[in-house]
Amino acid sequence: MNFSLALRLLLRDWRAGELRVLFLALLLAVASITSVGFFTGRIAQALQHQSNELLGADIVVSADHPISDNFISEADKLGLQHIQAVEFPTMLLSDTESSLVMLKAVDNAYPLRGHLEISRKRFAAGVANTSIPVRGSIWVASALLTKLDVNIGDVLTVGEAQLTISAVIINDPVIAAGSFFNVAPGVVINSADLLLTALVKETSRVRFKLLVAGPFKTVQVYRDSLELKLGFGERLESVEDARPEIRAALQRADRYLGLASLVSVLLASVAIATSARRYTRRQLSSCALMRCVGAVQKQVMSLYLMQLLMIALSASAMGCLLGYLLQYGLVAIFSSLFDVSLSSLSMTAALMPIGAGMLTGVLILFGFAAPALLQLKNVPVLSILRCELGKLPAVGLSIYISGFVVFALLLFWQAGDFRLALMVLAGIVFTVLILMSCAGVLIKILKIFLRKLNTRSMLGLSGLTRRSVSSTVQITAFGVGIMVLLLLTLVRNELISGWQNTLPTDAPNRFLINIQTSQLPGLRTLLDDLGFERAVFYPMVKGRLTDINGVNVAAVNFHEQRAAGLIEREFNLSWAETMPVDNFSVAGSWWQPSSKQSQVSLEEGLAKTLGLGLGDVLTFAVAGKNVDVKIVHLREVDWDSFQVNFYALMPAQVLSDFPVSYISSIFVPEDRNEMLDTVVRSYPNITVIDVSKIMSRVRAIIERVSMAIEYVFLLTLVAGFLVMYAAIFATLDERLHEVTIMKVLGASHSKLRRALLLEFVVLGTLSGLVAAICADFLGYGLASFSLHVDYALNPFMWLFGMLAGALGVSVAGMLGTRSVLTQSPISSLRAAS
Amino acid sequence: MIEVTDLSRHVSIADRRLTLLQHINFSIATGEAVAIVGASGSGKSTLLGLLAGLDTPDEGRVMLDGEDISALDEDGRARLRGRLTGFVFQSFQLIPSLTAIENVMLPLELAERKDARAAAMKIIDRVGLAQRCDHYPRQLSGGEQQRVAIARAFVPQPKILFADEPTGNLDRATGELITELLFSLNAEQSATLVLVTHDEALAQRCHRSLKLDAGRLIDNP
Repeated sequence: MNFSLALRLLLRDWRAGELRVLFLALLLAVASITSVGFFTGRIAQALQHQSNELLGADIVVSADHPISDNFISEADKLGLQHIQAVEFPTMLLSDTESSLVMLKAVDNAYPLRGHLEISRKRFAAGVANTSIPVRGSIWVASALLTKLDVNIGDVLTVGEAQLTISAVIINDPVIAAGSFFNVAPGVVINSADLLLTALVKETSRVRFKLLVAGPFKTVQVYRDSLELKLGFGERLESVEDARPEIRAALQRADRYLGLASLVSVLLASVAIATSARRYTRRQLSSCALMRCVGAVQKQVMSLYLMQLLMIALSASAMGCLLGYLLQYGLVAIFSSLFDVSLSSLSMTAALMPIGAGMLTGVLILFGFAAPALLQLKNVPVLSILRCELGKLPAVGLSIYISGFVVFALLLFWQAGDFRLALMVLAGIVFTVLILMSCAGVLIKILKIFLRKLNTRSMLGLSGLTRRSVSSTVQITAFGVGIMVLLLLTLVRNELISGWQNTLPTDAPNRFLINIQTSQLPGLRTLLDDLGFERAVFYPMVKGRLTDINGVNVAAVNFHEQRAAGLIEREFNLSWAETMPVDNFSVAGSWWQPSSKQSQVSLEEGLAKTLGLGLGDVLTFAVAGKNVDVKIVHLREVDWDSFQVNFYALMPAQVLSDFPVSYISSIFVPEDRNEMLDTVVRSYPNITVIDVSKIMSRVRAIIERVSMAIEYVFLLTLVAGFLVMYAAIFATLDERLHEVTIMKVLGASHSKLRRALLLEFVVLGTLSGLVAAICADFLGYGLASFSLHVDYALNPFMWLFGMLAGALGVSVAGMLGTRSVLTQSPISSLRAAS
Repeated sequence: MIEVTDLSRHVSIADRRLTLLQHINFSIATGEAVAIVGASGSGKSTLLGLLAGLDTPDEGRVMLDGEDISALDEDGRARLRGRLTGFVFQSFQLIPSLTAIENVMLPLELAERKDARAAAMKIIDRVGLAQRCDHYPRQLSGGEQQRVAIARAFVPQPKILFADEPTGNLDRATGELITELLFSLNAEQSATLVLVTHDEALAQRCHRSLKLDAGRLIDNP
C-alpha cells in the first residue's frame, strides 16, 4: 500500500513539475554512461573478431606433434570449419644465397579469418587473396627476393623440394601477429608439398596447428571442451598481445570516452544535488503535515525513499534506452574502421552497460539526493503550527560526503586508471574549494564597494550579498558548469591535437632489425645518403627470463596466456644512460649515468602481467651466461607512438660484454619504397618490418575517437546547461519572494529586470573567470601527467571564460526567472502564504 | 475526552528560562466545543501544540481519549493523532503540488484507506468545492483554501478537531462562512472541538472559553 501511495504522490509531484530537473539530470547521466558502455562493448567484440584475423581463425590449437584426431572429430561434431597448418624455421636456398625463414605449409581455405595480401612485385601494394600457393610453388616475403637475389618465376630449394616463386607476400596477418622482432621472413607453401621437402622429422622444431572457425557460441563450446583435453605440448593460441599499438590506441580511446561520459555524470550530479535541495525544501510542509495527520517517521521516510528509488529506476531505465539509441551514432562514426559489423552486440555484452547504467543511476541519485531528503526526518512537527517551514534544518558537512564518495567510486571505476581518476578527483575538489572561497571573498568585496555604487546597481548586487550563502553555492555550481564546458570546447581541442601530434605524418613506419655492430658506420652513411637523417640505432641483446627472485620460472607457473607467452619468448634487452624521452616514470628511480649496478627498468604493463614489483631480482640467460638484475624502476611506454621501445632497459655496463645487434626506425614515404631495396641489397642480413599499415590504422582510430568524443560531449554540453538551470531554479522561490515584496513596495518591472540582469552578469563573470583559470590548469595537469600530450596555458581563455560566463548565466538566468518577473504580486503572495 | 493536569512548558533563550505555560489544569468532555483565548504571546498556540501532541510538556500530563500522550514517543503520538485528531491551521498548510481533492485524500491514503477518493469527494462536495476539486491551492482564494483544509481535517472523521486561528487569515464575511462550516461539520460528526482564536464571535459559538494570560489559565468556568 505504501508503494502505491508513494507512486501516486510521485506522479502528483511530477505533474506539478517538481521533479523535472532531477529526472532529466539523472536520465542524461545514465544515457551518457550507457552509450559509451554499449559502444565500448561493441568495440571489444569487433577487436576480438579482428584478433581472430590475426590468428587466421577463431581458435587455434597448436602442438609440437601432429594434431590429435580427438580435436578434429570434436570440431566436426560441432559443425565447425577447420584446416591444418604446419610451421617451422628452415633454410631457404637460391642458386647463390641462403636465408633462414619461417615456413608455413597450409591447407586450402587458409586463413579462415582475414586475408593474405600478395603481389607480383616486391615492396608493392598488395591485393587480398583467397587462394593458397598451387602445388610446386612458393610465396615469399619481399625482403627475401632481395636477400636471395631471386625474382618471381625463379626456383628455390626447400629441403628436398624445388619450388617456384609465384607471388610476393605483402601482408600475412598471421605472420604479423607474432612478435615482430623474433620472426624470420615468412614463406608459404601448399601443405601437399610438405612431404616433398622431407623436413618434418621428429626432432625438428615444428608447430602443428589446427585452425578452427564458426559461430561465436559454438566456438565457445569448442574452446571450453578443449581446455580440459589439452595434453603435453599442446596449447591454445592467443593474440592478446598481437597489436600493442592498436590496443594502446583503443585503450586510450576508451579512457577519453569514459572520462567524457563521466564529465556528464559529474555535471548531472551537481544538477541533481542542487535540484534535490529545492525539492526537499518544497517537501517540508508535506512532510510536517503528514506527520501532523498521523504518519510515523518511518512511514514518511519510507515514502520518500521509495519515491527516490522509483525516480532512480525509471530515469535510469529511460537513460539506458536513450544510451542505446545514442550509441548508434558512435557506431556510425567507428564502423568503417572495422571490417566486421559492429551492430551485433551479444546479450551478455549488452547486459553489462545496462547493469552499469542502472547502478550508476541509483547510486548517484541516492548519493546526491538522499542526504538532502533525509533532512526531512529532522523537521519538527510543531513548526507547522508556527509557520516556520521556510528553511531546512541545518546539517553537517558529513552528510554531503555520501555524494562525494559515490562520485569518487564512479570515477575510479570509469577511468580504470588510478592516477587519472585521482587527478580528476583532486582537480574537482580543488576547483570546488577555489570556486567557493573565491565566491566568498568576492561577495565580501562586493559588500564593501556597494556603498559607492548608485542605487539602481545596488538593487541587483545587494541581492547577491544578501543571499551570500546561496550566492556562493550558485557561483560554485555555475563555475563547475562553465569550467567543464570550457574544458570541453577549448581544452579538448588542445588535448586532441596533442594526441594527434604524438603520431606525426612522418613518424617512423619501418623498423630495421638485426643490424650488426660492424655494419653501423656503413649503414649510417647509406641512410644519410638516402635522406634518412634522423635514424637512431638502439642496441639489442637477446635474453630469456629464467628466474624470478632465485626461483626458476617455467611457463606452466603462469595461468595467464600472455604471461606464459612472455616467459616462453626471448626478451629484447637494451641499455640506456637516461630514460627515453617518450617514456614516463611510474615507480622507483632511474639510475645515475654510467652506473655499473645490475639494475633493470621494466615496462609497467609487463611487470603487472608477470606480477613483478620494485626490488624483485630477475635472472636472464644471455648467451649462455646468467645476468641477475634488480628491478629499480617501472616505466609507462606509449606503444602507439611507434618509436623503438623496450620492455627491459639496463645500464650499459650490464650488457655491453654480450653479443649485440641494433634496431633502428625510419620513415619511408609511400612513393620511395625502392629505397628499402637498396638497404636490403647492401645489408642482406637486415630485416625490414613494415608498420605503415598498423600506423594508418592507429591514425584512423585517433581521428574517429576525436569525432566520437565530440559526439559524447554533446551530452555533456546539455548537462552543463542543466546545471545552470538547476542552479537558477534552486533560488527561484527566494527570488520570487523578494521580487514580490519589491513589487509591492513599488519597484517597476524594468527596474527589477535591470537588477536581476546585473546580478546574473556579475555572477556569470565571477564564475566564468574562476572556472576558466581552473579549467586551464586542470587541462594542463591532464595533458602533462596523465595523457602525456603537449598543452599550453591559454590566458585568452580566461577572458573568454568571463565573457561566456556573463553571457551564459545572464541568458539562462533571465530565462529561468521569467516567471518571477511576470507573476502578479497577489498570486505570489498567495502561493507564499 | 481531554484531560490536562498540572501542565507546564518552558524554553531557554540565551541562558534565561522563559515560562510559556504554568500549571494548567482543565478537562474537556466529548462533543464539547472549547475556545482558547488570550492576548498574543499568552501561550494559546503552545497549549494547542501540547494538547495535539505536536510538542511535549516539561511538567504535567495530557490525556487524549484515555491515553497519556506525554508517555508516548513521537511516532506513538503521530499514530494517536492519525487515529483521533484533525487539524485546521491559520495558514491553511495545503500541499502546493497537490490538487484540492488530493490534499483531502492524503490523511486517508496515509491510513491506507481504499475509499480515499470517494470519501474525499463526498466531503469536498459538502464544503461546496466539488467544481474546483482539481484546482491547485495557488488557484484558490484564501476562503476556498481554508475550506479544503477543513475538509481535509474532517475527512478521517476525527474524534477531536484542533483549529488554530481558523479565520485569522480571512476577511470577516469569509471568516463567518468558515466558522459556520466548521461548527456544522463538527456537529454532524459529534467531534470535540478545540480552537485557538482572537475572534470574540468565534469564541462565543463555543460551549465555553479558556482564557490564558502570560501562561496561566485565568478563567476556567
